[in-house]
Amino acid sequence: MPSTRLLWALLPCLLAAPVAAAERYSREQLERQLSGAESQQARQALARLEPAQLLPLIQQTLARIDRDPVPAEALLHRTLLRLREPGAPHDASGEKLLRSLLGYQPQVLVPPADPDHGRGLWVPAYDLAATARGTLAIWQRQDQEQAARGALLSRDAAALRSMQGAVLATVFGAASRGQLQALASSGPWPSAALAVLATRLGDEGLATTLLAQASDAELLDAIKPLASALTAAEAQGWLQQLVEQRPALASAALLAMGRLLPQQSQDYLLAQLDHPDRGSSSAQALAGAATPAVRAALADILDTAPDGPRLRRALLALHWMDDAAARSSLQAFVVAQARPAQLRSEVAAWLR
Amino acid sequence: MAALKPLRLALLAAGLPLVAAQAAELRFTQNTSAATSIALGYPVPLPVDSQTPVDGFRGYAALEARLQDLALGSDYLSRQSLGNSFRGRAIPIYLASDDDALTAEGFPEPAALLNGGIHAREWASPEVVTGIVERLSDKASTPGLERYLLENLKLLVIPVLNVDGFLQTQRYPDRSLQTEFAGDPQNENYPRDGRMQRKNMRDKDELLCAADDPGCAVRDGMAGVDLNRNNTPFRASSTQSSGNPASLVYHGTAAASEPEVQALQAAAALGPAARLRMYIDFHSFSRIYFGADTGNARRDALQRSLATAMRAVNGNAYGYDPTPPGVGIGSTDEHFAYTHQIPAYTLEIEPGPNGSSQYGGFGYSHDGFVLPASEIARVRGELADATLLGLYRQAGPPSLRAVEIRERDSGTPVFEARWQQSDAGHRQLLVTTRAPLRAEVDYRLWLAFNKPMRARDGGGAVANYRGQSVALAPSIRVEGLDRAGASFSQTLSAPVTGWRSSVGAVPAALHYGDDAYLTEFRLPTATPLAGARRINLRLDVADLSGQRLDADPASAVDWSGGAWSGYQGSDGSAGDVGGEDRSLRLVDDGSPLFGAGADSGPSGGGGAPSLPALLGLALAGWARRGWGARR
Ligand SMILES: [Zn+2]
Repeated sequence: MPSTRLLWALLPCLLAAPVAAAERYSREQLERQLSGAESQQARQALARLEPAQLLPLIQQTLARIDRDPVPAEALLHRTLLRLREPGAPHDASGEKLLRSLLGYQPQVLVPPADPDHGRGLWVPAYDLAATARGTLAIWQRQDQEQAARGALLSRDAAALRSMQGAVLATVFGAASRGQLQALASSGPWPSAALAVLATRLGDEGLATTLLAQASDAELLDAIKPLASALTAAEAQGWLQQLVEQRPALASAALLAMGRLLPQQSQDYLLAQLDHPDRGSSSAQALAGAATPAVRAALADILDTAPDGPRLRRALLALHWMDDAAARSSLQAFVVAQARPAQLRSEVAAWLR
Repeated sequence: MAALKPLRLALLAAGLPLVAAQAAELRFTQNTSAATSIALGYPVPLPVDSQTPVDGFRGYAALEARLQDLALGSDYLSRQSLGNSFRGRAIPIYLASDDDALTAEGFPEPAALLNGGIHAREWASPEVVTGIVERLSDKASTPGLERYLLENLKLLVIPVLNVDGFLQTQRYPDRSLQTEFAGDPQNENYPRDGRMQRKNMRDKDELLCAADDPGCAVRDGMAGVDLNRNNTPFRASSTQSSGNPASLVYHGTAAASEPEVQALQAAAALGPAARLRMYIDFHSFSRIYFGADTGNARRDALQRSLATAMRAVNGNAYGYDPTPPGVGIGSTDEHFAYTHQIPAYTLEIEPGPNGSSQYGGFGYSHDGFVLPASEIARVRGELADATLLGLYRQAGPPSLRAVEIRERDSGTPVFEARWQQSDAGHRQLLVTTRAPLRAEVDYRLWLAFNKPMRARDGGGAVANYRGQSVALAPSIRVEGLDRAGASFSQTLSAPVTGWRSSVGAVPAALHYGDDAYLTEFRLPTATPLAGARRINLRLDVADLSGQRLDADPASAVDWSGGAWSGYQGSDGSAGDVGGEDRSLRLVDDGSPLFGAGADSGPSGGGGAPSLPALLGLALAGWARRGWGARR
């Protein structure tokens, strides 16, 4: 393999200089060291290495790192990243080698990546410990996904149920509809996996189960994809339950409702306008749904509703529509002497 | 090695750059790593469509809708536009304050400015400043610290200054470009555009396309002006900015050349500028308060002590690092420190300098700009707590407003006094002495201050504000000169439980929870009260952030030339630390409060109130709750 030979030939070049006392480098110094032809060629040589050659390269580099840490840490960093690619070998000895890097003390410090002031702050140019941890985590994840794909092929629901939700979510995301249908009734599934099942199958029952078991954070991730996977009527029902049962997610659910727009959603959103916590999101959802019926209902509120949340949110809905018709409704409100003076003046400011 | 040299020489001879331009599009992922995919190790946050705060980063439309809803019809929040961004979008500012431009006492109100989103990719910033507005809005209806701020400070909040750039990051929340620019040696290999857009959107479109993308017509990924390098007085004066428009830290063609920086200056004018007392520019990351020392020693020291108070709120996880006087990079904190002589910070929100590896991230050098969604709710809360304490401190030092002494059992009033505003910078003391103080009689002493002085823990007990360590109980003494002119002093029992939590109960807090204190006392027979030449109260108490009383309430405290004015210490000299209040005399011998004739302390500066002239002023109709009514 000629590329290996080139790299081995380069290593002494890269690492030959005696170790410098200073460990702190300006970004400029770092770039200068790394933009030399040797570093470039080492980079290119690394890119051509076979996966099996990467682990020995790490050992070789570690053995020489004290002599010239900048190119050595750069090379280690790139090698650890290459090891994350699919197909890179990761056996027990490789894992052992990477674990030995988890406590690695960085030898090359630079100013932080955010260049605002930053005097006095020095950070590792290469966070090799975190990079090694990441590579190990990716290996573990690759193994877990492989095991999950195997269990999926052999229809081993019991084995699948024992796996992490995030792993299952990835594997379920790429599974066939037939495979997923077979699993739908084999739960209970972790919420992250159940969300993918419900979404991929457009299954209202699974969506209801999800609502009962998932955390707010898990449901927040599921709202958009799941609402668009269900029929509009199903999604409306599911989102409505979310609004009622999960106050922290009510806004997200109402805004998702605005993308559905069956008649039922419009009625529900209009009815929520005077709710202290839901009204504003309902107004924003309605603003995205500027049907003639919605406009007429909002105009009616402008004409008749007393000062309060309902009137304010109707004004906001028209404001957020931001088109000529909505503006003329707001203009009419501004000049209607009988309407609340403070609101009229605030709305006038919108129109300026 | 010798064999390599010809190759290198050959490249040079051919005029080819040794560093090839990398022009790839990058994609951020949680776990997938490849040549152009960067695994962060946690879910890549996408903008969330939710007006209310969630475990995530809100999309701009929802964030702006949220604030507009809070503002419409509110007595305490209003919205204005500061002008338009480079691409013509309105840059809103929110004013969190009542509308009278006066403190609850009637003095001219101070102002403070919080700037969010100057650097587009720093998504924690708009969330944190919006969280501060939400906190104030949520608590406006209860008379606590937040209501105190709303009534005594004009808070100006820009949620997203760089609105064009912020929208660009949200348009491509998991994509960026590897750099196409090798002319910036300090920042050469940094990712740009898309999620990593930092600068404004001058001279670039909203497409994300790499130079080697066949559909890429315009290579503008590196364009834009760094708004935090475009400010007086240090624009274009350091190696931390660049005159190359492609640089990450391009400082623009002139100071304030950018409409966004002009908008920031317009925001300062809303204070108005002369009323500003604090500025924070919210950035990420590094977990530190940066600032600039200007060489104005008092301002520099106050900026440090204010940072100390805010940092303590979060256990000193955040550092403080001021640049020395006379040098700078063109940042906004420098502008406010030098131009307006106020404490001004560049607050770099967490993570710390090592980036998101502290949350288990995989070590990508720029992951600190991508705070995991699971952290933002906590960060919003922590920095709202810290920033509100800073605002509270800069709203002004504490001062005594009123005192009342009654016989405990009969309720008979003995002594009443209050400091009342007399003009824009002064108070006068109104005193009514109804009966002499006697030994071996039980009294109730009620003291009221001009701001909330204590916090409460979850169980409702008096507590320090988060991270502060202030003595919770006041120090109260009755002292004076006996008939022969010898001084005496009697310390009163002052339990922590004396703080009054609610307005309305009697004896009550004055305007705000825990702005008043109640204790009982009984002076021993030996106290030489009979015929005493002078009897006065001696009070020592600090506010939530550790600022001591203004020892002379006659001259109201203001901010001038980078320091407090009218803020007297125990000896009457003006300074920045305050001291003991001895202004309330039950028996007055007419001696000056400070200096010659006073019985302790070195000779001090000015501001002794004309107590004798005020003594005995009629207080017809004074009722605590009456004059305490909120404007
Ligand atoms: Zn920044």
